[in-house]
Formats: sequence, structure tokens, C-alpha cells
Amino acid sequence: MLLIKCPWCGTRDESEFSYGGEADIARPATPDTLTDAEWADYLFMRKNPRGLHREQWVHAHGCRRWFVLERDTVTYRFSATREPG
Amino acid sequence: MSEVSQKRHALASFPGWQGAGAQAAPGVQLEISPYLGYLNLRGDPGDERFLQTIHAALGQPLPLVANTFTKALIPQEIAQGHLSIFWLGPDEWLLVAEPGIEKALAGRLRENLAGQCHSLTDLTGAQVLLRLSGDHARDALAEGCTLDLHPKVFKTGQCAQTTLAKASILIALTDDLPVFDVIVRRSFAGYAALWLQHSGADL
Amino acid sequence: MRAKASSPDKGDSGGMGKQQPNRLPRGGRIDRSQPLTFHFNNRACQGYAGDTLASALLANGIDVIGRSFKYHRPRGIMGSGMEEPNAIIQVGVGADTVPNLRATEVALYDGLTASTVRGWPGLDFDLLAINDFCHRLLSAGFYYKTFMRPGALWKWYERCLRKASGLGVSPQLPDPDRYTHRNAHCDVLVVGAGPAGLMAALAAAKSGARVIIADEQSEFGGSLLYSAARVAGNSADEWLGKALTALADCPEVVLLPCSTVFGYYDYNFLTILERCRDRPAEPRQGLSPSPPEREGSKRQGEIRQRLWRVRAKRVILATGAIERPLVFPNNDRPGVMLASAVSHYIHRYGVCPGRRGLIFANNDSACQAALDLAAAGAAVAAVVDCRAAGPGAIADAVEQAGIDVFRGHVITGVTGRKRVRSVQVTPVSADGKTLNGASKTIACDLVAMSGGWSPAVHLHSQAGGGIAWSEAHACFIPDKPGQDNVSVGAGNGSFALDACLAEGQQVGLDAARQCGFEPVPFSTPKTVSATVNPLQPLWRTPALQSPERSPKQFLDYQNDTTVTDVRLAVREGFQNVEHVKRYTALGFGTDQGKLGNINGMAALAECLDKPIAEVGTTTFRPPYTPVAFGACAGMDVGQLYEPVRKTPLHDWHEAAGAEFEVVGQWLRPWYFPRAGEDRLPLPLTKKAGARGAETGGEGGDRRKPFATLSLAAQAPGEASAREDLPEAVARECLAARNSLAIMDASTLGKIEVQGLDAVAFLERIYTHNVAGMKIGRCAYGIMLGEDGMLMDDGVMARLGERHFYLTTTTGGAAGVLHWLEQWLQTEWPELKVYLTSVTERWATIALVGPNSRKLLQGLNGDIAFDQADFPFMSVRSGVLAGFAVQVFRVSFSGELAFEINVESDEALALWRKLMEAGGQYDITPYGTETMHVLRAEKGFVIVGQDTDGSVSPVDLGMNWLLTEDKDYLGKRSLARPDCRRADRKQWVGLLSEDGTTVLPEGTQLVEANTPGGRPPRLPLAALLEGSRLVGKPGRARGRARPIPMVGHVTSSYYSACLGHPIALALVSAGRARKGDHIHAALSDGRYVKVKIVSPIFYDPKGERQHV
Repeated sequence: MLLIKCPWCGTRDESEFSYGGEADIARPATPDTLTDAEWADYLFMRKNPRGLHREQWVHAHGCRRWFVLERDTVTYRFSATREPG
Repeated sequence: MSEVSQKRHALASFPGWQGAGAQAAPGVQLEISPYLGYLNLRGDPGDERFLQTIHAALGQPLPLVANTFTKALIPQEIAQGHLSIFWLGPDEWLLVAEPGIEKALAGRLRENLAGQCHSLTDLTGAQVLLRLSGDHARDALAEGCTLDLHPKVFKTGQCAQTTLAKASILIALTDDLPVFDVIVRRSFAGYAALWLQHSGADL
Repeated sequence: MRAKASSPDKGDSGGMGKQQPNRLPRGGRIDRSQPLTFHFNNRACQGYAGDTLASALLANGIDVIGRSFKYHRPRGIMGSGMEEPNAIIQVGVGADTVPNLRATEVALYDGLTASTVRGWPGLDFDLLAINDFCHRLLSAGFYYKTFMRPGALWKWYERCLRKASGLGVSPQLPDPDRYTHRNAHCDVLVVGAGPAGLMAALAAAKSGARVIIADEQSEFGGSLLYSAARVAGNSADEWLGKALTALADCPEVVLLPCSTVFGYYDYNFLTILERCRDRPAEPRQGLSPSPPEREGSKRQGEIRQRLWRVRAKRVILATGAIERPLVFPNNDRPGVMLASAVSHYIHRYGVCPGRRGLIFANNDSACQAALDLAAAGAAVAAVVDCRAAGPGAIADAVEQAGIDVFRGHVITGVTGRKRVRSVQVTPVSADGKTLNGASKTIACDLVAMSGGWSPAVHLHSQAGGGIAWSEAHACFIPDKPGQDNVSVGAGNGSFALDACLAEGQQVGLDAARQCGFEPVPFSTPKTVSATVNPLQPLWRTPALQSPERSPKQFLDYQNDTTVTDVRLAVREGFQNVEHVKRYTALGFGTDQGKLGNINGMAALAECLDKPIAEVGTTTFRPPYTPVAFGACAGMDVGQLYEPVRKTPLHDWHEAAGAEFEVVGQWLRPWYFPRAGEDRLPLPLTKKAGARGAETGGEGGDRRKPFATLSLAAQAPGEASAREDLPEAVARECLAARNSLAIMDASTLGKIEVQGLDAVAFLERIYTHNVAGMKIGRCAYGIMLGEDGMLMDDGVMARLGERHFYLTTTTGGAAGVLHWLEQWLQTEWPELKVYLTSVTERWATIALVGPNSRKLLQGLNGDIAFDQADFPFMSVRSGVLAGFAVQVFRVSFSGELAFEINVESDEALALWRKLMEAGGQYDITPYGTETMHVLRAEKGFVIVGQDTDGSVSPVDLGMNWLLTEDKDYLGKRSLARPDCRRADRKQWVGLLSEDGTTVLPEGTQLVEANTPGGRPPRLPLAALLEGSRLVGKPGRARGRARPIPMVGHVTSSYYSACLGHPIALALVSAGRARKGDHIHAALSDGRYVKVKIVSPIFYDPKGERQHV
């Protein structure tokens, strides 16, 4: 059971949160102009690294805010928290 | 016809419900609160005008510290009664008042906030307040709540949205006795009340 | 509690001596004033309060407790705690029965019944003991090698093998016991209340830190409970008492005896199993005192176990060490015990487990057992020590006591089958590798062995910590910790008492400081440290013959893994310790190899000629000891298994006799059977009408009164999967189509969208034109995932310029809100939009049918309901019959219909009013089944039933909803090549050609044009082996060939209104194939010919909802 630090509510049990996948994937401004390959890259391709991973979480049973965490996928340690945007 | 006679409380058929309260176990009292008025308010806390408008309208400021609540008398010109304001998120608050008052409050707020970006939603009837008190209230809650409710950690005036077993709740410590207010969505209220009854009995 | 409940003794205490031949006249921490009666294998026995089942069995002189797993050898008690591998027993009968408990951990209570888990037909005469003599056929990997072929027979083999080998019997009745959970937080969690743990807890707690200390034993003290040492000028026992009092006086301490810390997870999250019923009946510190005794039997209302979920800032692991057995021929005979267990039974329970004991050890600690035996009045045959010589205070004391000491000797044989009779002792070389002298036989009935101690590094390892090999103690000790934890005492390789006390105190003070408390120093209790002769590793006694020719030398007692098995595994190519474990089953028992693993690794190291450190250990995983499912479930059983969400109208539905179905967590009325209504067997057909398919797609108004339907003669074997239909559903459907029906739609997800940018936001979410919607208008909207697939749908309404109201599916409510918030907060934070769930604010009542408007017009209110003022797809707010309502003129049935939102608390009153006023139209409440039928007749999709996340709006024929001149989520994906494939599955209607068969939902659809124009017939053999249908072309004549699969049925009902079954299906390129015939492959092997039609079966022009 991870312990996750919500930027608003502080440290809470993992069970209060939901995972939202890799962070920093910006939606293309003009999808219509993208090639199929470019769109597929945005849609499907994820880094899935061994080591530090920036990812989105939402405090689903708390303040309902989304935020970004940096997690080491080997040790499950979190190293940074910030609001998105 | 009177409005109240049309109403039926969410837990009207809850076993042990007498319209007032139910005993969980010695040392733990579980009360099911009667009707209350609820309003959900959202707006930008960085907007001074928004904050001042609310303060002026309600006679009390919005709590801006996360996981806290305030409670004060409502200005006489609106209605007789108390208003509790719970912090739900950085731009979201829950207003809880005695039944019926929420309409006057909402009216006043809408009037004063006209033209300002906000949202005000009447959630009366959507939630139920359960009140747990007594020496063993913390133990009963600890069976299904992962928050640290130790008196040095979770103090009167604090609130938190979290989970109680498999239900989402808003929990607030309203008195050192202790008295915990647990606000739960209407359809989960039966589950939460039953759960607290059982956990109180399991101590 | 168990003591209090004990019945008055039957007056045979005079015979207690006979009953308990091994009970010492005095001593032990038992309560001799409270005799208890229990039954073991139907034999009545006596014990005392404070006994474990194991100590009581030993007191009663019961040697053989069970039969071993594979060879069915008689086995006795070997240990005294959780490490016990042999004494695995079944406790209780009926619903109360619990299998596979360790007798050493079962607190004795009056009336306890226990039995052996193995041994057939009986414990004393076990037929399968023949396995012991056929062991050459039963080597490691025997099952894998023997029962492989033919594969089909495995199920039969397995049944026999389970009977031969299985452990206890699972209870067949619901567990009558109660379990609970407790979440807890603390500054310092101390695991283990031996000398090191107690000192650590004391040092931390004196500072005011919140401390939880847990120990698996019913009494705190660990080794102090049977230690002869003096601590701070007191006996160990006296010092223990004082320390516990001091600890209990600290302000923030929780003491948990009978509590095993069994899991160590991320972020210092640990789980503890507290066996409440075994606990001494005094209140725990820091917790509310136990509630007053309840009426009735001792078990009524009592919590059996509590699972603690602890989050600790700092964890101190004082888990102690586990004594190792020695490996010698027949080292499993009843009477062979761990040396510490012998001391334990004498000191703790006043039980002497033998009359003539012999000690066999490679270290000093076992000598204590010799002294204890002598003090208990038993004969000590000898101390056999593999070490040639050396200093040693305890060893000196043994010699001074006049006990024979055989230095430089090992045991090379044991005689006696159900109890040790004698041992063979042989001189050994100084390195312990070779025998060098004549053997001697010594008579004894007890062998107390000690191969040294292994620190219990389990939790340290679970926490991610490394372990290192200690040459000095020949054991693995904790290395770098994985989290905020520290190991101390014997669990850290510090075996001396003075070191344990000092280390414990130090880490306790450190922990307090780390948690922000000012430590309160106090003096360390002084103990006398003895001179110790260092341990000499002895992993296997050299044998007179090769291991293969010697009697068995057991490594893992519970799984009957021997030295020979490990050697065989290596010969067959297994080298990695994890592989050897799986091949030999070493450490796979319920004890997880607590005794055997280290010796097994040593045996492997010997075979591989590597140091043990290089062989390494297997992975330590939770739980440390077995945990009952009941404890994992806690209170989440029965009514509390899952939240049951009820609508504000639930009580009315219940009173009306509704059948309910669970939708998400909601309980929704399924249908409302009336008295006398039954379930009608299908297929149904018209009495006189022509059988066969109707042109249902066009049959808009072919309504037949239900009374004209009757049963068709059912040909044998013609049963379809949907075998009956509630008569009520047919009645409800017809009421909605013909007059007036009412449904509780409160479970719909409802979201209010407000803010300056509400329109801009919703334009990106929905596929339709949102900006063009007038205030007061509704629209059917769909949400696509970014992959272009349909995610959710519902009606949305524009309540104001910047104010919208959305509905979602019942199951999608929470997910859609999160998803919307995710886009708003992470992708478009610049949009000023606020979302608020109003799902529970409003109850929703749907009024459906041609008479719905008339009903509403007959009620008082300020809303005009006529067509001109209130057209289809619009919304009005106002007062209706005295209630503040929002009314939506929308339809999920194709009929004239209104959905009324009313405040939840008032819903029941309004519903009653509508029911009363609707009496003149025979208003009919209906449930979800009728709702499904009505919408299927109209070809309205249900997300999650007709879609599965791989269905696009184009597949569903919803192109009319897709706006070209704006971007919305998922739009670009619809242009991906895969979404434009011509052969994508498309949503169509199906009619059974026989006009009667209601296809099971999920039925696979196959092409009809197989060779011969007939549906493919399957050979009998293929039917029997259903899973092998596809593939293996030409392997055998008569095997079925692959059949082209073109789709599957997503929804299927009997339409009472149309008088025949209807189905909806996803069919490859289906829209262009209307009129084609394909086949539905039923699971019973039959095929039903079906025709592809439009998915709209009823009122295809949609006129009825517009009236």
C-alpha cells in the first residue's frame, strides 16, 4: 500500500487515489493535420521506463484534484509532486 | 400541504432508526442526522472579489486551509441558524445548514455573485450526515478508515474526504468529546450507517 | 475468556497425574487451578489454562500427532511455536472447524476437539505408510514424471493424489466467527517482545512516542519466559514483570500479544493478525478495554481475529531467531525435538517431553536443555557435541552436573518408529566431514537437537532489505534495510542476552529521536555474559553409507524433502535455489520452510560445491504465517460485503414485490411480478398464427394482447438458452406501449456543468453541436474515448447560457466525472468550468406511454405539457403536484415519455401521487428488464452491453451524431485505417428464422454458406472436446474445420409487443447484409438460422415519441 502525497490534502493511503497514466502527454492542437502514425504515437505509445516515471494521479476519494508524481518504478518511491498545467 | 410531510429521510427504513438516533454499542453513539440543507459552491479562491462577496453574504469567510471547516451563525437578515462550510478542494466548498435555510442562502449567494464566475449547486437530499460520538468513536472509525484520527493529529475543526470501508465520506471532528460528523452520499448512507453500527459492536 | 468459560471439572483431578504423565508436579506459567478437558482424535485428555494444544498433548504423553505428507511416517511435535512443521491439526467440528493449525499455536480451551489432518484409515495404522518403503519410486519430481500422460487422466489422478496427500478439510459451512480490521498509525512499531523488542519499546515509549509492540506469543518476554539468566539482579521472570509494568505505564503504547506481524509492505505498511480469542482476558493498553462479557456461549459475539493495518514511521524488527534442526538419518522420529522447545515446554508449561533425553548440538545454547531436563528430574543420557573441544560456561555447567558429554561426536542413526528408542553415536573428524571411529548405541526417548540459530529475517526481506551471510554464526543476517526499519537482537544475529538488551535500548532511543521525540535515557539492565564456545556449522552429519543408502535425512519435514531429493534435483540439472525449491517442494509447506530451508540450501551448496552465501535464499513473501480468509475479509461479509446502493424509491419497490437486480452497486427493480404471475417457458408463439419469422423490422404496430400468446409445443431437445420469461415483463412492456408505465430511473448519473467556458468544454467532449442548442433543449450525446470508441452516452440539456445538465449511464457515473475532470484539470486548465455531481440530488421518475401526457396534464402545476409548448427533446422546470421538478421530454422506449427529476427526499411522495393519479390509465411500474426490451425494440444502444470498448459510433450507425466542422475527443481516431475497415463489425438486428428461439446473449454468429449449404455439423468427438475444435487440420477424419465467425449477439429478448424474439448483434459488415441469413451457434451444438435486419424493430420512423 503506497503512501501518496496529494498536493492539497497531504499524505494519504493509495486506496484514496486513482492512477491516470503517464504525464506530460499533450493533446495535439490540431489532430486533423496529423498523420496516422503521428496520431497513433500520441494515442498509444508510452515510455514505460525502468526507473523514474512521471505520472498522473487523482485524489479520487478526496479533493478530486489531478496532479503529477514522479515515481521510481523499481522502488516505488515518489520523488516529486506538483499540480498539473 | 406542508413541505416537510412530503419528505422521506434517506434512512427512514434503517433498522433502529427512530427519526432521531441509533445506538451502535456502549461507548459509541451513532446518530442519524435529520434533514439538512446542502449547497456546493465552486469558485476561484485567488479571486479577492469572489472571496469578499461570499464573506459579506454569509457573514463568515470560506475556509481556505485544506481539510478544515468553519461554523458560524448565519446573518440574521437571511435566516436563523448555523452554517458550516467544509473545504472540499482548492476551489470547492460544501455549505451545510439547518433544513430550509439553504434556499435563502442560495438566493442570497446567487444575487451577490451575479456576473462572477462560480457555480452554486443545491445538493439538499443528496447526502446524509451521521454523527458518531463517545469514548470509542475513534476505535469504531479505525476499523474502516485509514486516516490517523489520533487527537494530536486530527483536531477539532479539521475535516477530510476519505473512505470508510467501501464508501467515500467527508469526516469532520466537531468536538473534542469526540464528536465526528460523517457526511456520506445518500445511496451509501445505509451501508455506512450499518457499517458503523457493526464496527461499534466489534470493539 | 476461555478460562472463564471452562465448565466445572468433572472431579477427576485426582487422576490428573495419570492423565498427564509428562506434567511436572510444579512450575510453568499455566494455571493449575483451571483444568481443561479436550479431545484429540476422539481421546479425552486434560490440560490447564495457559497450555497450548501441543504442550497439553505432550503432557498427556501423546507422541504421534500426525503422518507426514508423502511417506506417511509417524511424526511428533518438534518445536514450540510457529516454526512447528509436524503437528498440523484440524481443530473444531462442523462450521467451526479450522484446518491446518499448528498445535504449538493453538491456545487450549475447554471442550476443544482436535484431530490429525492425515492418516488413513487411522493415525496409528496408516495404509499409505507403504510409501515409506517404496521411496525409491517416489523421488522428487515423481508426480511430474508419472502423471503426465495421458493428459486427460490428470483430473482422475489429481483426485486420488489429493486424497493421499492432502492436508486438512475445509469447512463446508459458513464461518460462524466474526473478524474485524483495525487501521492504526504509530511512531514506532516493535515486532517481537523478547528482550530486545521490550527494551526497544520501553526506550521509545518513555519519550512519549506512539508505540505498538506485537508478539505472536500469548505472553510477552520471548526467551525470557524460559531463561535461567539473571537480569539487573532479578530473575528473568521478575525483570520481565517489571519491564512490562513500566511499558504499560507509558502514555501511548498498544500492547498486542497473540499477534503475528505477517506482512511488511511499501511505505512501512505492516499487517498484524491478532488472535483475540487466544488473548489473556485483560484489557490492552491504549485501547478501549474489552467489552463486558456477552450472554451465551463463549464464542457468541466474540471477535475471533483482528487484522491490524499499521502505518509506522519507524519499524524495529526484534523478531528473534529460529533454531535449526540437525540433519541425520531418521531425524524425524517422534521424540526428536528442537532443544529450545524442550526448555520451553519445561519452563513455560511444566511439561517434560521425555524421560531420558539426549542432546545433540553444534553450539552451546542446547546445553541449557540438558540442565533443564536434569532439573525437571529427567535422565540425561548424554550431550553429543560435534565440536572437539572449546571453552563454554554452559557446557562446563553440564559437565559439572555429571552429564556425559561426547565431544567430537555426531548421531549417525536413530531407532524407534513411533518414538525414539536409542541413537547411534559416532566420533567425527574435527571438520565434521568424516566419521572416524566406532559407533556406540545410547538408549533415550528424546533427542534435543540444535544446529544453531537462523535470525527471522522474513519481515526485513519483505521490506526490501538485503541479507548477508555471517560466517561467525553461520546464518543469514539482515543487511541494508529496504525501508525505515532496523533489526535488533537475535533477529540481527546478536544472540547474547546482554547484547539484545543494550541494542534494543539503543534502537528504541534512536527511533524516538527520529520521530521527533526527546529520548528519556535510563540505565541498561546488567546481565552476566557467559563464555561461549563458538558454533561449528554442521549441515549434514556424515553418514555411514551414502545419503541414498542411508535412512532418510529430512530437510523439510512438512513436505518430506530429504537430502537425497536435493541431490537428485542437482543431478537432473537444477541449480538455482528457486528451481530446486519448486522441483523438490522444499519450503512449500504451510510452514514455508522455516526449519528446513537453511539446511536445504546447505545441501544444495554442498552438491554445487559453492558457499551457502552464493546459493542464496528463496524469496520471502507475506504472509509470515498462514492467515485465515475470514481475517482478510474482516467485516466485509454478508450485508457489508459490498455497499448496496438503494434509490429513494426502494422501499416502495420492495413493498410492491419487485424482483431486483444489481447494476453496479445499485439495487434496481428488475420487474414487478403480480400475484398469480409466473415465469413463462419459451419459446412462445402465437396460438393460431403462422410460425416462423415475421418481417419484424417493419412490424411497427403489430401489437398483440398478451392473452393471445401461449406455449408452443416444445420438441424434445429444443430448449433454448433463455428458457423462460417473466410474465410480468411481457405485461409491463405492453403497458408502456399501450397506455402508461412508470419507472425509477434515479440511478442515472447526473452532472451539472457551469462556468464561462461550459459550451467550449462540452463541444470538445460531445460529438454533436452543443453551441447550437437552445436553452431548454435536450440532445442525445455520446462521449468517445480518444481512441474513437464509444465510452458513455446519455441525454444532456442546456439549462442556461453557461449551464448544462448531463446524464451518464448508471455504471459510468463516477468514471465519466473523473474523466471530464481529468481533461479539464490536466489538458484544458484555462477553461473556466465547474462540474458537480447531482446524481443523488435528484430522483428520476420516467413516465412512459401514450397516456403519460394526459396524466401530467391532470396534475396541478405550472408546466404546460402539450406538444407545442413542450416538444420532444426539451426540458422544463416548475411545480408539479406541489413538488419542485425538472421535467425532460425524452424517451428511451420510443413512446411519448417524460422523465421527472424531483428532490430525492420527496421522490416517494411524488411517485405515490403519480401512481394514484395514474390509476385511471392502469399505470404499471416496470423494471430494468422491460426497459431493456423496450429500448431493444427501438434499437437504442446500451453502452457496456452492446458495446465493449471496441465499438465506434460508426459501427453503431450513429454517423448522424458526428459533427464534421469541429474537433472533439476521439474524432481523429475515427479516421484511422482500422476504424475505416470495411469488414468492421456493425450493429444490426437479427430475427430467428424459426420465429421462436430467443438467442442467448453472447452467441457466436457464423456464416451459413458452408459446403452443402447446411450449417456445419460437428462430429460427436469434437463436441465432447469443445476446446479443441479449431485447428489441427487433417489430423483426424471427422474433425471440424474452422468456421468463419462473423460476429456475436449483444442483446436478445422476447418481444411481447411484436410477438417474436428479437436480437441485436455485431456482424462483420452487417449493415450491407440486411436480408442475408447466417447461423447462430448455440452452446449445445445446435445452429439457429437467423436473418440480418435493421436494429430498429418497432416504429422505425420514430413517430410515437413525437406525438
